[in-house]
Amino acid sequence: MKTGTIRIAAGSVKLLLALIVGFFASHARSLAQSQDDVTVAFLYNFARFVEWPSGAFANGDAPFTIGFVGRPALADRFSQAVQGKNIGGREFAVRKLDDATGAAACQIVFVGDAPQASAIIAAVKGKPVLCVGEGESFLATGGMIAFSREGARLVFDVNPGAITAATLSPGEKLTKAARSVKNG
Amino acid sequence: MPRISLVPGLVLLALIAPTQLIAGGAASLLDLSLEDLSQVEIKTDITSIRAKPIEEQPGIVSVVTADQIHQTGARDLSDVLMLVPGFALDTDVESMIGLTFRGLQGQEGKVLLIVDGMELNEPLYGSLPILDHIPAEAIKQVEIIRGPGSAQYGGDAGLAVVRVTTQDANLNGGYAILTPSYASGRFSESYAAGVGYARGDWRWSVNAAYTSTTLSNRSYIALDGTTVDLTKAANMRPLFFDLGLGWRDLDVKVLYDRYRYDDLIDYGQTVATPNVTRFDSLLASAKYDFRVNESLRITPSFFYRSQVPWYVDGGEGMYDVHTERYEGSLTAVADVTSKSSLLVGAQWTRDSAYVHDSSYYGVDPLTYYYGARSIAYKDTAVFAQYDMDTDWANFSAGGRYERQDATGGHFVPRVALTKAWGPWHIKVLASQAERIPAINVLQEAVGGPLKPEQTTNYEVELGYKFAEKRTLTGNVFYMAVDRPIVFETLPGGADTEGYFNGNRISSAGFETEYRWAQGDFENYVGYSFYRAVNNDESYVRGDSGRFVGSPTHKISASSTWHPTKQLDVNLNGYWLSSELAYTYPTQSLAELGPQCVVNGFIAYRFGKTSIGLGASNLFDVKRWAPQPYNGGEAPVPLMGRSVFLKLGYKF
Repeated sequence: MKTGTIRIAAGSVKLLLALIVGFFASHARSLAQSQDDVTVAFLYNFARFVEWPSGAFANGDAPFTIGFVGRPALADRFSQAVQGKNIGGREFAVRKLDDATGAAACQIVFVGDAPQASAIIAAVKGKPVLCVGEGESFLATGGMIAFSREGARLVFDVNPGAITAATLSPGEKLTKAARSVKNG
Repeated sequence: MPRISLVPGLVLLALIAPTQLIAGGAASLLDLSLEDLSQVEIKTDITSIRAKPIEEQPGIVSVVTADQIHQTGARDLSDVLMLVPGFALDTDVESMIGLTFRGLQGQEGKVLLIVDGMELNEPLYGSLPILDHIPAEAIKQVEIIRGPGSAQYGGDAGLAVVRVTTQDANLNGGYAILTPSYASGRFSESYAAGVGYARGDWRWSVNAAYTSTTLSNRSYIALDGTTVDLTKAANMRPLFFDLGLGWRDLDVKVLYDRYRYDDLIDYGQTVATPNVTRFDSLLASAKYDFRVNESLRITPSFFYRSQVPWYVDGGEGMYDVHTERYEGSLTAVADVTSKSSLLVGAQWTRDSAYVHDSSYYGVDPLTYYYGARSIAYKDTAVFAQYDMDTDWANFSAGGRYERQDATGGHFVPRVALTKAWGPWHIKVLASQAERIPAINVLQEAVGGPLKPEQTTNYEVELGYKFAEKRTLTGNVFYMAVDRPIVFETLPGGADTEGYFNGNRISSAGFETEYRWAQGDFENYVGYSFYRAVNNDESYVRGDSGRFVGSPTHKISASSTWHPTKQLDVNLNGYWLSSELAYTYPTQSLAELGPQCVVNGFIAYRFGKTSIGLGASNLFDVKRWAPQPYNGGEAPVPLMGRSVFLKLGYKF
C-alpha cells in the first residue's frame, strides 16, 4: 500500500534551480575561515595590543617583524592577510626561521615546531620578543601565549609574568580575552 | 524517480557568474576583537567545497570533537555514534556488529567509514564492523553526514558518511593511555599511544591502539534454543595503527587495522569451538595539493587498500579471500568568484578478489568467481560540485556519474539550499545515492543480474541559536531505497537463496538536537523518530510501519560538569524504544527491550597526567544487537555493566 509518495516534476526543479541561481548571483558574500585564518587574526591582534618598549626597534622606520619557526604555510597566510596593514606606522615583515637563529631580532616569534620551544625561549630571554606557541605545555616551558582548541574554537592562555620579564606590557585587552592567565 | 538535470543549471551559473581572483580568508577576521575571535567556530568541510560553519554546510552534519569524546569516557567509535541521532547497533552474521541508520540496515555498503581520507568498508559485501573498532583515544574529530553522500563519496555512502580524523602533527606532543576494565569476572584492557610533531616543512604522526576484551558478558540464545556463554570465549582483539607523513603540501597516510574476534554464533547456530574471524586491512594513500595560484588548487591522489575481510578459520574449514583496491583520482577546486567555488574531479578504481580458501562454505576456490579463482572490476567516476554563497542564502549543486564493469553507468545529483539569518538557519536538501553491488553480492545474485540500489533523500533542517552556547536544531526527512539489494529466498523460487533487487523500502522521520552550556555544565539531548513507510518488503517491515531490528524512538543525552579546570564529571547514555526481532522460542517477531543505557565517567587532570574512573551500562540493562531481517540469527546480547579506569599521560 503506497502512502504519501513525494514527487517533484523534473521541469519544475530545473526552473527552480534557474530562478535560485539568477537571484543569488548578485548577492554574494564572503566564504568562511579555517583554524589557520583564526590564528593569523590572533597574531595580528597580539601585535596591536601588546606594548613594546621603544628600544625594541632599530629605528623609527624599522618594520614590525614576526618570525615563524615551522609552519611555513601559516607564515605565508599571515603575509597575505596583513598586506597594506601596519602597527603604529610600522609595516609588517615576516620571516621564516629554521631555528632560534634570528628569533631575537623579531618582535613576535610563533613557535610552530614544538621541540624547539625551549631553545627559542632561551634565545630570546630578557629581550622584547613575544613568544607564542601551541598547547598547554608551552606556557610551562616559559612561553608567553599559548593557543589551544576548546571544542570547535581556538582560545589562548597567557603568562603575564613571562611577558613583563621580556619588558613587554600585555595590556588589559589581552589578559581579559584570555581563557586563563597564569604565571609560569 | 525524477531525474534532476543539473547541466542547464551549471551552464547558467557559468554564464552569469563573474570571474574574479580572491585573496580572502584571514584578512576578513583581522578587525574582530580578541573576544570575538575566541568565539569564531573552526569550520568543517565535510559536505562543502570550502570550510563553513556547520549551520551553513549543505548537509545534515554532526561534529564530535576529541574533547567531547574524552569527556564521555567513550572507548571506541561505536560509543560515539550511539550518542548521535540515527544510529543503532545490529548484527549481520557471525556475530559481526554493525550499524542501522534511520531504521534502515547499514550493513553491506550503506554507511561509509572514512579514516584520514581512506575508505575502510570492505569490498566483498561493503560491511563495516563497528563494535570496539577505531579507538577513541586516537580520534581527533568525527564528522557525520546524516543522509546520502554518494555525490561526493561514491557508492558506499547511501545512508550516511562517518569521517574520522585521527590525532596528527597538531598534537605537538603525544599521549599514552591505559584502560583496564572489569565485567562479570573478566578483565579487559586497552592500550593506546600516539605522537605527532611538525618541524619546518615536515610533519608526522603515529597512533597505535590494542584492545583485548569480550563481545559480551551474557549468553546467546539461538533461535533453536541452544545457548552459549559469550563471557569467556567471545574474545575481541582489535589492533589499530596509523602513520601520517607530510612535507609541505604532500600528505601520505598509512593505516593498518586488524579487527579480530572469536565467533561463537556462526550463522545463528552456536558453535562449541569459536571460529577465528578477521577483518584485516592495510590502507595507504598519498595526495599532493598543487596550488596553482590563490584561486586554484589541483590535487592528484592515489589510494591502495589490501583487505582480507570475513576471514574465518573454523571447524568446518576456512574462508580466506584477499582483496585489493587501486584508486587514482584528480580533483580541482577553483574559487570562481570571491563567493563561489567549483570542484570537479575524476576517479578510477580497480577492485579485485582472489580466493585462497573457501572450504568453510564447501565451495571450490578454483571456480569461486564464475569459474575462476579471482575477479576484478573497474569503475570510473566523474563528479562536480558548485557552492555559491550570497547574502540571501547559500546554494550547492553537485553530481557524480559513475560507470562500473558489471552494472553500467548511473548519475546521482545533490542539491542544497542553506540560509542563516540572525539566530536562525534553514537547510533544504535533495540527494540521491547509488550503491553498486559489492564483489560477492554480484557473485551471489539469484534471479538475474543485480542493478544498483538507489537511495533518494529529501530533508529539511531548521535551527535556532538562543545564545553562543545554546542551540536547537530539528530536521525532517524522507529516505527511499529503490531496488534494495536483499538476501533471502527468491520469491517464487524454490529454495533459491541469494541476493536480488527487492521492492522499495523507505524511512521517514524527525531528528532534533539541543545543546546548551550553563555555568560549569555542558549538556546535550538528542531525539530521533523513524517510521517505515511505503515498504513492500516484509523482511524489513514488522507491523504498523516499524522496522525489524531497529527502534522507532531514540533519545541520547550527555551532561558534563566542570567543577574545576582539572575535573570533569560526565553522565551520558541513550534510550531505545522496543525493537522487533526474531527470537527463541517462537522464531517469529517479538518485542525486544526497550533499552536504557546510562554511562558515567569522572576524569581528573594533574600536570601531564590524568586519571579517569568510569562505568558503562551502570544499571546493567540488557542490550541487544538484533538482526534487521529474517536471517536465522537471534539478537546478539551486548556487554552489561563494566567498570574501567583510564590512566593517561600527555606530553
